[in-house]
Amino acid sequence: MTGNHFSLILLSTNRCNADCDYCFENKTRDRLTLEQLDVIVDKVLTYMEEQGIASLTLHWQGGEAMLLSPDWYAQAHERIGTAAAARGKTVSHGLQSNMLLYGPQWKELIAGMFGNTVSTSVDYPNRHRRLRHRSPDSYNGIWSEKVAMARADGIDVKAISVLNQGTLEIGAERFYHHLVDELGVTDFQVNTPFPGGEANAAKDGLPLPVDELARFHCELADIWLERGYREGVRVGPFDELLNVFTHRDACLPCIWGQNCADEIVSIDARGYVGQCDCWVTSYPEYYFGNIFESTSFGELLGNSRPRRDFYERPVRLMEQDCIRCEFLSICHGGCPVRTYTVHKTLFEKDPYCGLYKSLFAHMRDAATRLLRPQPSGIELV
Amino acid sequence: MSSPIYNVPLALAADYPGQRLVVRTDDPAALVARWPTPPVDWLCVQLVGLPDRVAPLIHWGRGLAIDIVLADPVADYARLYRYAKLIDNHPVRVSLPVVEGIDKAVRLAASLHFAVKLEPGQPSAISELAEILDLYLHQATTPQPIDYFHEVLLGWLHDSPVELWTVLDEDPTGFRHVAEDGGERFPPRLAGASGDPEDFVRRWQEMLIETGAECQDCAYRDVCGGYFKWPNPDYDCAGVKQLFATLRAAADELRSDLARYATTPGSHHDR
Repeated sequence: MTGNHFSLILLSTNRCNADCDYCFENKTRDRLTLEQLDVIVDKVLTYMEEQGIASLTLHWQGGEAMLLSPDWYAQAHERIGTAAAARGKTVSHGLQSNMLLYGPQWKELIAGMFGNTVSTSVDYPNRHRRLRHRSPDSYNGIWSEKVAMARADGIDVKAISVLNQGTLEIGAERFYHHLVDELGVTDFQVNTPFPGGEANAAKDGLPLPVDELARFHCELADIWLERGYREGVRVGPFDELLNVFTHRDACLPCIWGQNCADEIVSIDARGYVGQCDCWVTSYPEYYFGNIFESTSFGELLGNSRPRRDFYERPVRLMEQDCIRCEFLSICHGGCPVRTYTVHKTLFEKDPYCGLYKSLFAHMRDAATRLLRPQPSGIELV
Repeated sequence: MSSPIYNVPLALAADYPGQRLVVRTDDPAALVARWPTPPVDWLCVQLVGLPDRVAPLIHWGRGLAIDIVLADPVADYARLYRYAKLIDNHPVRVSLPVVEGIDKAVRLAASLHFAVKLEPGQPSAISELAEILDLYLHQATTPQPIDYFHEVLLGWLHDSPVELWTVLDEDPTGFRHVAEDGGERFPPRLAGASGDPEDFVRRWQEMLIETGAECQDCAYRDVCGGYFKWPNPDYDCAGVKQLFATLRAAADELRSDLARYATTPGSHHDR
């Protein structure tokens, strides 16, 4: 059992140094002060005491988290650690960053606070990630340089890659070759885009065509199984789906879970509380409340009508065809934000349902092949 | 012989110190308030009435089993999502009567990684049971047991068949139901039974044989033990026998597959 744990996505700042076309966030100039952080941590720890939760993971994001200094985070780390220890709680930290501001001044902080690991994003081809008024190519150049620097400093850099129409056009082989062989990214996850936040031309074509996405995912999975699986390359969600279908413990991405409302919550730099970073800056109609305006974080969560919609979502989806799906135990109707941004309601299934079904069936079949004894002695890793 | 397991209401749990208990309640908050730490003798908490707020149970009594009684599986199956988080810290089982339309409840329970206990009684929904059996036997995304199918399959697989009375917690020798007034009763399905609970099943089986019931020549007597003949001995067992036949065939096939796998080059046994 896994569950004496609470996960919080904390936006230390809503400000960003990038200007990506498909960003779902409503970026403001707000940033947390250490005093505000103390208030948040105090209320979250109280909530954990009330619920009997022993441990917390803070997923630091933005905007761009590195817009606050390493010294700010070092002080935050100390203050959080002291507060948690006083209450018998343990806290771990994760960092998500575009890495554009990485430099040697971050090395010690990342090692000490973030387990020497950073998660970043890389798209291929990059059509949408950019600095303000500059091209995606210039973004690529800076990103590559910074990531190389971080790796040279011994930092484990993991990546999320958001697919775009260009990715589907170049195909899985070129995509895999670029990320793994050319960039040396050997631990990454592919994500599907959604038209979150303010509308613009880049989001007009979303969601991407399900059949093309399905073909891309299945081809990419096959390439990974053939060339990366036994070489220690990790590609999400394929690796965890393989764990599911080979009956091992699995940690599936948040889009596939019984109910993400049970697993995670997000607080932005203004103190607004939302389901996750996809929601907390952009959808006021789904704010759960403001932690600075509430005396109790537990009451804020418990009394939130918008949050009840997230709890109600899977219940309502079971009145539709999800209940008959053989993959219900994996998917549970998919991602609320992907649903909301397309259907303008929480109470429909994920628009990428067709992709998920194709991919699940594909990985199930791959797992079946792997589980068969091989004469040559090739085994499940 | 070990002492029986008592199914007791929360208000009377303190009257059974040192006994193996299933504590039933419709008020998780009251349970946690009364017992901040569950005694080691407790086997299970049984939730009746589908209480809305189960948050107090999520981080309480880690490892203690929880049984959710889904009395109306057709109307209430979707409410199982409200209990999804319990699985983080507890083995969870859903107990539901076999009626027409239960397949959605079973599918959802299985997808939430809850074990399922079918309470078949003398079922008429045979085709539904057959569909659920197929789900249990063949769907890769059904990771948890669906009883009674699971225990029966395992029993035949390992040549140690277990009677349904035991699988379904209905043998009064091993399971006692304590009512709200403190009175000990036969398990609810055996309401109307009388005599010494210690040998109820034996007496029932003897009666069936003496009266010439079809049990006499039944190939599945070792597992059924006359279960499906209670309360109406004239119940037509053709449907449930077909289900037993499917389970038996599955056990035989599994045993054969395992034996073949053990001798296959490249298998873990072939070293």
